[in-house]
This record gives sequence, C-alpha cells and structure tokens, in this order.
Amino acid sequence: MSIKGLTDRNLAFPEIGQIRKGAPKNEKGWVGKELPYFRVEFDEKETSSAAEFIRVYTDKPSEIGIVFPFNEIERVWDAWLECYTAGRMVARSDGDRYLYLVDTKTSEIIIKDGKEVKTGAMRPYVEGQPAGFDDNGKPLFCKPTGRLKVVVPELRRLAYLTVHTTSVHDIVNISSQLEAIRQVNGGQIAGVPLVLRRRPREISTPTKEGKRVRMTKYLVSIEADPQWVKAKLSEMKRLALPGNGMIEHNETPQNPAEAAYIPDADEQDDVYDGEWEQEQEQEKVNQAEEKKTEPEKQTAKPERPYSPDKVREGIIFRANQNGKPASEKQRQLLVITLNKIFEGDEEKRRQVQVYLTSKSSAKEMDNGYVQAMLDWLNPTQDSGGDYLPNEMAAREAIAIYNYRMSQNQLDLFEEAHHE
Amino acid sequence: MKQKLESKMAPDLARSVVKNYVCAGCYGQLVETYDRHERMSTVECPSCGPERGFVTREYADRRQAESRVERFEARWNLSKIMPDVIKETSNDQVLKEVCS
Repeated sequence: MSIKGLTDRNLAFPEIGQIRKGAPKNEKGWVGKELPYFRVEFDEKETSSAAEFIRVYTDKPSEIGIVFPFNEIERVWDAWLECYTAGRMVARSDGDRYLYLVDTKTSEIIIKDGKEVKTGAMRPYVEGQPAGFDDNGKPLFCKPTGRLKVVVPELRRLAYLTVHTTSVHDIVNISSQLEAIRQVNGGQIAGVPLVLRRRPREISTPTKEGKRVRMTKYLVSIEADPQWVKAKLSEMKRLALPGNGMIEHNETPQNPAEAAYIPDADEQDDVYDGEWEQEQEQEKVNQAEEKKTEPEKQTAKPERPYSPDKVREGIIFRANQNGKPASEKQRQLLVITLNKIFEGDEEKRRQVQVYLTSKSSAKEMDNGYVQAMLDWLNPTQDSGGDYLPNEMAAREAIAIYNYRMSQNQLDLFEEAHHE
Repeated sequence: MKQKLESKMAPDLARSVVKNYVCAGCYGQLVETYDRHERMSTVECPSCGPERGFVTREYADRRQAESRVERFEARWNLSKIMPDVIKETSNDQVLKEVCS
C-alpha cells in the first residue's frame, strides 16, 4: 500500500514514506492490530525507493538501519499528547498545558501557541479530562503521539521517513535512548549509524473488563550500530589512558620513532586476522609489566594527528619490526582504505604511499610496510560493509598529501629559480 | 495547521478558500466546483480529492522555505555517512539552493 501526495509538496527535504507499527485501519476505521515488524509505506511515486527498501529489508522488517538528519533532538523527535476527530487535530498538549485547542462545538481555535487566543493565558492540561466531544457527544481524550524523522542510508536519498507510535512505552524509550546517544557522542546525533528495532517486552495492559494483564508488545528501540559502538568505546578507552595526548615537560620519549607512532592496543579491530590481536595483547602485557617496574617513568605520546614526518618515522619503525607476510587481501584492504580517504583519487593515494613507503604500488610494498600501513589506518567495517579508516589516520593522510604537494611546488620553484 | 474540508460551502467562502488555502496532501492548488441546483460550491484538490483537507498557502510556503534549509543541514550532517549520495557543493550552489 502506498501514500498519495507526500512527495508532490515540492519540499527540498521531502518525506517519502511512513513507518508504522500496526496493521492498517479496517473498513470501519478501527485501528489495526499491533505487528511484530514495521509496516513501511512509501509515497506512490517513490516506487524505486520502495523496491530498494524491500530488497534490503524485506516487506516485514523488524530492524532498519537509520541515521538522523539533524543534531537537535526536538527536530527529529516530536512527542505530544494529541487528540483528533474526523481527521482534524483538536488538541495538543505537552503534558503540563495545552498548546493548541479547538472548541469542538464551534470549530473555533481557543488556544494557539500555548496561549488562549482571547486572554493570552495558559491553560493547564488535566489527565483524564476530555479535550472536547465528537458529533455524537462522546468525550475525546488526548493520546500520546510520537513522530520520529529518520533517513535510511540504504535508499541513497536525501529524504526522510516518519516513524509513528502512540505507545507511551515507546515514547519514554525513544526519548531516553536519543538523550543517551546524544550524551555518548558529545551532543551529536546526526549521522550516527543506528538500528531501529522492534523488541518484544512484557507490558502490563488493561483489558476490557478493567483488569490488568501482562502481554507481549513489540516496542520500538533505537540502538547504536554495533560497529559504531565498538569504535566509540575504543576511542573512549584510548582517551582514558593515563597521559594520553599529553606531553609533560622534561619528559622525552626514549625512541623518537616509537613515540611517533605506536598504535594503541584498543584502537585495533578484528578486520584482518587473529595474529594482530595476539601481538597487541602481548604489547599490553609488556606495557603493564613496564608500568609495574617503573611506575614513575610514564612516557606520553605526542597528540594526534601526527605530522607527516612523524607518521613516516613510525611506519618505517614498525615496518622493520614486523616481517609477517601480508596477504593479497590485506594489500587490497590497504588500497581500499586509502582510496576511501581520497574518494578514489589514485594519484593522491600513490603520493601518500610513495612518501610513507617509497613505493607507489601496494603490490610492490614489502610485507612489513603493508602491515604497518594497516596498523596506522586501522580500518573498521561499517554497517554497510565499507571499510573506513581511523579518523586521525585519515586526517594525517590528507596532511601528508598536502605536504607532498607543497614540497613539489617548492621544488618546481627552486628549479625555475636556478634556471 | 491542517483543517477539515467541509464538503459544501457558500460560493464566496469557496473562492476565499481557493485563494488562501492549498491541499494539505500535495500543497497543490484547490479547485472550486459550483452546484447550480443547490447554489453551493465544493472545494477539492484535483489530484488528492476532497479527503486530504487543506492548509494555508502561507504555511505551505513557510514549509517549503524551511525544507530548503533542512536539506542544506541534512546534507552537511550526512555527508560523511552518505558520501556517494551527497556530493561536495560549492558556496554558490548552497546559496542558490537555500535562497531559491
């Protein structure tokens, strides 16, 4: 089933569909029963997006990969108490007071923007008190209503879908989960890869007889993508290490090359093979033993991003330490990851490779250099299967390329000057 | 704010509705149909029909302007996660999009 007219509004950032929890209303207009999966409806003109969605998630998805388009929670998440009759909203409240209220007898707007139109006074919202009456004299009550704006990256569209819920449990869940994501990510929620899930939970619900029974309800849950959480936790652990990113006076690293680039054990991910992890574990043990014996000599690394020459020193040092054979897959991963940084610009990638390893082709690189480069880039796989480099390494790679370019220009200038 | 569309109304009111309101579904122009026998008019959207209700033209214009800014912000916020969809834009292009 599709929706008509949504994308005809000529909106630059359009709503292309809606994500619902229940079956469609029946012919009598009764609300459909709750489904254990999401029911996703696209605008009737969004046939290719609808087909792509079904290809990726099927027509009964219980999990959908999403991101938020904005950083402000209030711009992606609307949660109100609302009351409707005959398709028209007659009341909206934030739980404390009415923000909008219509006289259901006269259709006159009594409260607008939280204030009474005639007096400018605010009217408190009282739980259990009807907001109005329908044509048959039946009282109308406000119900929890939540709307969440989400972008589904797999659709490759700069457009959003709206998730609808009227469950108070969902509203509490979503509000707290959004706040948690915001706090973990330094106030940012936009662009964080998340998973929208239906989670079964035992909920105490009232029956027609007035008793309460426990029933399984499929609540909406927003969870961070596991890969993102892993990367985030690694980052937090790294930042929590003593002396990290700080150089104290009168302390110089014993080996400048080692200080230039020592990949943190916690930065390592399991994208290549088990051997690296073992190596990192061994390093952890060594470091722990060193700390035990010489607690007063805690050397600190320079703060990242490192300068181009520091990165090169580190790569050379690590390449000489590591003679393990590099597989074809690892060489490919190195190229893919560097290409990701330079958006497929082969020339830029080669410039960086030449600077760091003296080889323009990954095939020609010695094994140790391939391993050292991968250690530095520390690629992790995202939810879409793409390998993304460590953010600091990406910045360093771009800085190296810029440095190379400035050097080339300087060389050209000097050549011209000598002539 | 979306309002319920009355099926029949006085011709004067219908003309005013057509002038000041647009379809709540597609923000498209409404049309008036006059019933000679009843001397009443109906207003509806030619593509969505009479069921979608209507919103003020002012509201629709404001939403369209807001949406242009939203697109710009969303593009900025999602450029890292959807780099192949969101190409880099020059300042001139951004200005053109936001101001058009």
